[in-house]
Amino acid sequence: MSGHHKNGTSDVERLVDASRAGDRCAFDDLVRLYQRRATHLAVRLLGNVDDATEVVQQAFVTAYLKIGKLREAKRFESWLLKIVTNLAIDHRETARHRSGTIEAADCEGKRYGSPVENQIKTELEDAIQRAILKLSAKEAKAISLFGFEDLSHKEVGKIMGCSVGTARWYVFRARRKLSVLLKDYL
Amino acid sequence: MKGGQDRIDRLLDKNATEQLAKVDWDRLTDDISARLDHARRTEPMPSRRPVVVKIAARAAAAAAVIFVIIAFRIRESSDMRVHRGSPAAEVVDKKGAVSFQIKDASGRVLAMVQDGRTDKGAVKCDVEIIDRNGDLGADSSRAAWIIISAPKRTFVDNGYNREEADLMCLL
Repeated sequence: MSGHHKNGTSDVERLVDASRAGDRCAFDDLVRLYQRRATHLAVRLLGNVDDATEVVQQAFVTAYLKIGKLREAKRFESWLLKIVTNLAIDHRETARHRSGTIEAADCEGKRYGSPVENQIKTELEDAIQRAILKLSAKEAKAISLFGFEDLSHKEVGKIMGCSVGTARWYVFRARRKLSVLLKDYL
Repeated sequence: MKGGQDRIDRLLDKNATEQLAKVDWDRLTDDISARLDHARRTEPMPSRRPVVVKIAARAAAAAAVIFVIIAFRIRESSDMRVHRGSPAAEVVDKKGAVSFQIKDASGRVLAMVQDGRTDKGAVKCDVEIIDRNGDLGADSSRAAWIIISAPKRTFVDNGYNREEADLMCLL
């Protein structure tokens, strides 16, 4: 996330502190800084951009309402990404229970794509989305975090609250399942 | 297997990249902003009360519940009788703890919970026994709700002063 690196940690902390004091403009700056990164993670967890953007919107609202509870301003990014992860997992579990497939999620259409792009939902996108929804929550979380900006197994384990070995196991199982589910596209 | 894993990773990367390319970021920013406006109107920002206050309040609530349960157990296990409307309650403040007594009109102690240490002071309270099912009969030992209230807010410095004040309020 280039904006984050360019602005540096101290700027982020200043924005977080200002947001906690009720400065709405400061929080808008945080939105602009982190919306791409948050959406990237959500897309990896959900497989499609429409559900991802919905979850990201919810995540920023949650962060806005609860920012007073964030003790260390410098941890804003990891705190926000954790909110995104939890909401995305809830969202995919709801989708799984609703239909067992992703058709229901597709009904809303691709709001964030151009009209032409919206019409061209490729078979591959569809297959990936279906495959991700067939992973368990922990497998989806592990493979998404692992693929997200090349986090290590150790970092994935830390975020998931499990050992490195367990994180590695979830990543392995997720890859194995996806290899079977997506074998026609490999 | 390693090659298969790499292909899966590349496939997921490619999908994420293509999906993100479709996002209209300005529109997403506007949508988030609109939701924040709505949230600010409909949901109050949470207060930033110190954590210690919240912990103290929860501890006081738990203590109050345990306290009342113990008081009733003692009462129920004894052969003493509480007559409706007549008893008075006395809360005795001690360093680090609160003791509790229910007395009848003659001043006789009907129930008491205390930790055995020396009394430092007392707060007189009013007590009302509420019978859920009408008047108590000859056997007045069945459970009933009680309301205990101090005539004014009392704050005793016992080293844990907030907890004691909270406990008084909860009682």
